Amino acid sequence: MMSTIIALIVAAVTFGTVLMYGTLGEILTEKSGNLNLGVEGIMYMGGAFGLAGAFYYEKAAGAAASGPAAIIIAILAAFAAGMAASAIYSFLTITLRANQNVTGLALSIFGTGIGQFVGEFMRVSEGGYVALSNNLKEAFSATIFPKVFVNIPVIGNILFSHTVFFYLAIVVAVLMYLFLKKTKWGMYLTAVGESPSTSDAAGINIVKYKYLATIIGGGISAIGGMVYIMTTAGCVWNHEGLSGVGWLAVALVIFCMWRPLNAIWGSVLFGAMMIMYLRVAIPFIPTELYKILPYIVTVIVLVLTSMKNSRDKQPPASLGNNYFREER
Amino acid sequence: MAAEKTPLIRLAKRTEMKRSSMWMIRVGSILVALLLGCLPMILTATNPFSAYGVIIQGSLSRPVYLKQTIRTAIPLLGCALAIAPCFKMKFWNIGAEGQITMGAVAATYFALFWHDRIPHVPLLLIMAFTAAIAGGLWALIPAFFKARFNTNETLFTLMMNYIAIGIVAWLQGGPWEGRKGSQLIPMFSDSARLPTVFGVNCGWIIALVLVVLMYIYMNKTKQGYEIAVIGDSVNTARYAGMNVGWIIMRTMFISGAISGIVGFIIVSGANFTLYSGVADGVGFTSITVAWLSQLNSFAMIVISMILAVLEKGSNTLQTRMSVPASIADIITGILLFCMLSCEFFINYKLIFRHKENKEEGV
Amino acid sequence: MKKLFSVLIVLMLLTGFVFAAGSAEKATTASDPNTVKVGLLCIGDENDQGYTYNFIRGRDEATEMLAADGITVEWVTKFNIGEDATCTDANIEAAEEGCQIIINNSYGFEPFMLEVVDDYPEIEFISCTNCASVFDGRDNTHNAFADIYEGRYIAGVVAGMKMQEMIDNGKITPEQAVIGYVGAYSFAEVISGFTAYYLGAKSVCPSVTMKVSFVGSWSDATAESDAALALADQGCVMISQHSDNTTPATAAQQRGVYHTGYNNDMTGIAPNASLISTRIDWAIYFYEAIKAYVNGEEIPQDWCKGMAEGAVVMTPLNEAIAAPGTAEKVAEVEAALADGSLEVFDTSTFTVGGETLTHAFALDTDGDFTADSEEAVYDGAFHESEFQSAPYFTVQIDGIEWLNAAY
Repeated sequence: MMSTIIALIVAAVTFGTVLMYGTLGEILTEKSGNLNLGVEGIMYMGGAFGLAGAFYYEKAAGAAASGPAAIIIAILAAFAAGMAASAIYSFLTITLRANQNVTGLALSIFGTGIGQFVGEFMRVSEGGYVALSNNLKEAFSATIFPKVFVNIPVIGNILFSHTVFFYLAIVVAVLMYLFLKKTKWGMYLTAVGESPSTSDAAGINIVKYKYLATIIGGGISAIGGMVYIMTTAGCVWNHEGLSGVGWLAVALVIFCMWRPLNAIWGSVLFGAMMIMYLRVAIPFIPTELYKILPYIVTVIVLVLTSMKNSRDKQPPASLGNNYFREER
Repeated sequence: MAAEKTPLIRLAKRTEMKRSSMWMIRVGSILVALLLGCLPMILTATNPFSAYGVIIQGSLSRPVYLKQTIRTAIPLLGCALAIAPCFKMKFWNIGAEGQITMGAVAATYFALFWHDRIPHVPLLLIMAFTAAIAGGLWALIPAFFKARFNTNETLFTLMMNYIAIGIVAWLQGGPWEGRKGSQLIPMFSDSARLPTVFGVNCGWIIALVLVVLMYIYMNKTKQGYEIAVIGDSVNTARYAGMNVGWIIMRTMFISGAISGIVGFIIVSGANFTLYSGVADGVGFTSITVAWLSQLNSFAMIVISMILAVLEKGSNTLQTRMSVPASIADIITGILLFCMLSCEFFINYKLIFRHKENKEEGV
Repeated sequence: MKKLFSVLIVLMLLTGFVFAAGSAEKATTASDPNTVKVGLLCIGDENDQGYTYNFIRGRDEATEMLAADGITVEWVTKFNIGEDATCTDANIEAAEEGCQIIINNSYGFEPFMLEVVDDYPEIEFISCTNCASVFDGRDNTHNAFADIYEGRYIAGVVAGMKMQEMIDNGKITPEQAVIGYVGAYSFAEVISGFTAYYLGAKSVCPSVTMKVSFVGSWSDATAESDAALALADQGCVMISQHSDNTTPATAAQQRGVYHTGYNNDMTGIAPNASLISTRIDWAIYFYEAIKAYVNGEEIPQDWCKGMAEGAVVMTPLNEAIAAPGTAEKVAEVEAALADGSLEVFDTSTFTVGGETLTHAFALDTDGDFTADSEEAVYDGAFHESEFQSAPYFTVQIDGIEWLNAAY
């Protein structure tokens, strides 16, 4: 029993890591009042460009290719792709004042298209499958801790057996928490999301905050797509693999109440819900219905918080609405 | 801070613009999008002219292709019509995907279990009716919570999509499964299929009728007026004595019901069976169709046809030139970005600094 | 305002027709009798390094074999087609683009393919791994599959020998010889496959048992990986798969257990885990079918060949980790299968609910999804793929535990 639970947690972390990046990026974005529904597309782009970065790096470097370098290149490539995607979104919604929902959906379509296009184009141009060598694959899926730590009973597996991306995600989450709660800029950003007109009156440069939060947030989300392709999908482009992951991340943002630290356990919990059907079979619950649990839980959270109407558990007040100074 | 110095470019809301120039800008933005769409083609060493040629050929050049294109356009159009009243009301219903799916589920129930007991036409009517009810009820859930507790509808409707899709996935492998273990629901018998008119399922007639009805509803009825008032300002609507919550629920029900009918058209007119991907992104794409058409029913016909041409044509492009079919999504995305941007130039004019006095700048 | 739009759309239509007129003659089919245009519709792409990749290999090999006979094949290959209405569209597309033969590579494609076949009576439609052509009364529909259960049986023998070696070396107890099997769906093709595999393992490792986890998709790299990891975590020491990707091999390697594959040699991906794979050599069928078509002969309605004809092959054995003597044993079993002295589903080697299997129907003639005719059990064995190419063994035998039968 104990080992089943440990194994479940370890497996949940694998998928949870993917979600954590998607969610953390979107939290940062939504804190600025921008509801970027393009996460799905952003993660697709991150996945495709992350794989492309690592693949072409290995192709160029040959046998000399090193794991850490490939990981860094993949992260950077995915991050850049996500920034580019959300820069489009930012320009349209912040500068050109387009509707956020529609722009986000357009970005979803566009990003999914770009991701699949790049993934398929690599295959066509390479004339076969596109995959990393076993050494690099190993580097992407190995833990950074020495075997001694992993072998500690119980906690060894739970704490030390994950990929570098998991620990990096936790660092991002903690940094984001500190940024939002402890720094001047973080508080300004929160203010922008809560009440742009007040912030504007107070002399905060709304446009700058919105742009930076959305673009950096998009970059973080995109890393999630890369982590998915490079860990759970086995370093191979997967045409449909990422579909739905971005939307799950959007759901998770609600579940986490827009708090970065909640994203750590929230994403592991969601990760567990997505794979639980393979490990804990409950006879009278059909497996497919397991998979909608995260969405049901999110709906319940959403409804409960709106019913209670408690001040600190709401979406950023201006979420989804653009700010026009002239209409103040 | 920004206000302290004169900005290089300043914005002012345009008061009036000639309708012809408005539509000129919009058509221009489509052309710009098509030009930008050349970029990925050039990057992948494909001649954009022949690529666009193939897209047009593959979607319009033969009766078969044209039929397929129209079949693709029908759900986009129908669903855009469904979304229009919600968006007019500034109720951001992005749950059409789920409402289509639930409509399809209801229609499929009758198609699977009643097809041998009810004659053709009544069966189709029952399927359409129950699909509308199912879609409407599915939409009513978030609407209720919005009206009652002001629950964020964008996020709620989004979640409802995946719940609906999950339910179908369960039906596919569970109670409605055909051959054991296959996860496939059997194909509909002929009596549960929509008849074809001019070679395309008669869903296109339903969609065109809905275009007219929706135009009348939005522009000529009291309910349409109420929707417009709420869209402008909820407070105004309240002062005017409107029951905002009730109107939200009513509008969402209508919207969901139309989406449900679209679901019925998809399963009964195109797919002839049900599977979890039945909505296939239509619910999302049609939102952009509705928005880009300025919620104008007739413009939706054009926009949904353009997107259908791209989608069908790209398929042929993949067949003939090995260009990944996802090029359709890329060009669609670019098209949406361009058309969204162009609204800015319709609504605002740019005033450059050198044109004005210094005092005016602050 | 709408005028401009209508002008635009008319312009688009016009340019469309101009372009179309220019290419009208191009679309007509080739007149050279030795050139044939064949459509291949695939559920995935080569990136799976498994199922679709195997088809593409078959396609390329068949092209070479036919070229040697002076036949030129022009392929129209479409990837990542869903088991849904997109498959109907893909069939129409291939037909309109002038394909004379259209091959659908996945089981779930058939119902959607059948929506199209009557509109193109002159085109031959082939649905691999499915079974409707015999009963649908049409001349232009065909099915094809191979006796993959033979290959799986041998893969099972390789796995069994490895586990027996582990038992003999004291690495595991006899009860710990547990196979974890990643299955796609809980239906005949998969059940037949894993049962054959299990019986192969049991023939050399009597204490073996098996757990099957269904993922509910032919090709879902993540779910396959998760399922394989879950099986390894539940104590399985050997992983095998009936799914399209290589992730179960990767998962086995990661957990330090062994693996046998399907569709492709996976020893390159998991050198410390993967022992051997079995695959269908589709080139054999493609060659025969296309050759028949060009010669003006009938394409067989329901084609099925086995190991003896080369339609089912084993990939190279991973000698570095296989148990000693495996290669010899494999050769011996292959010979016994070929000369008929060994039956894979020998009813004396397994029980169902403690009883010997004495009766099972093979075919479903009335379309209600339960088999109702042709007794498959006779002469002391269940005769798989004899009455139709698609497998029909659906019996749940003792020793195999289904972890989740919902799929």
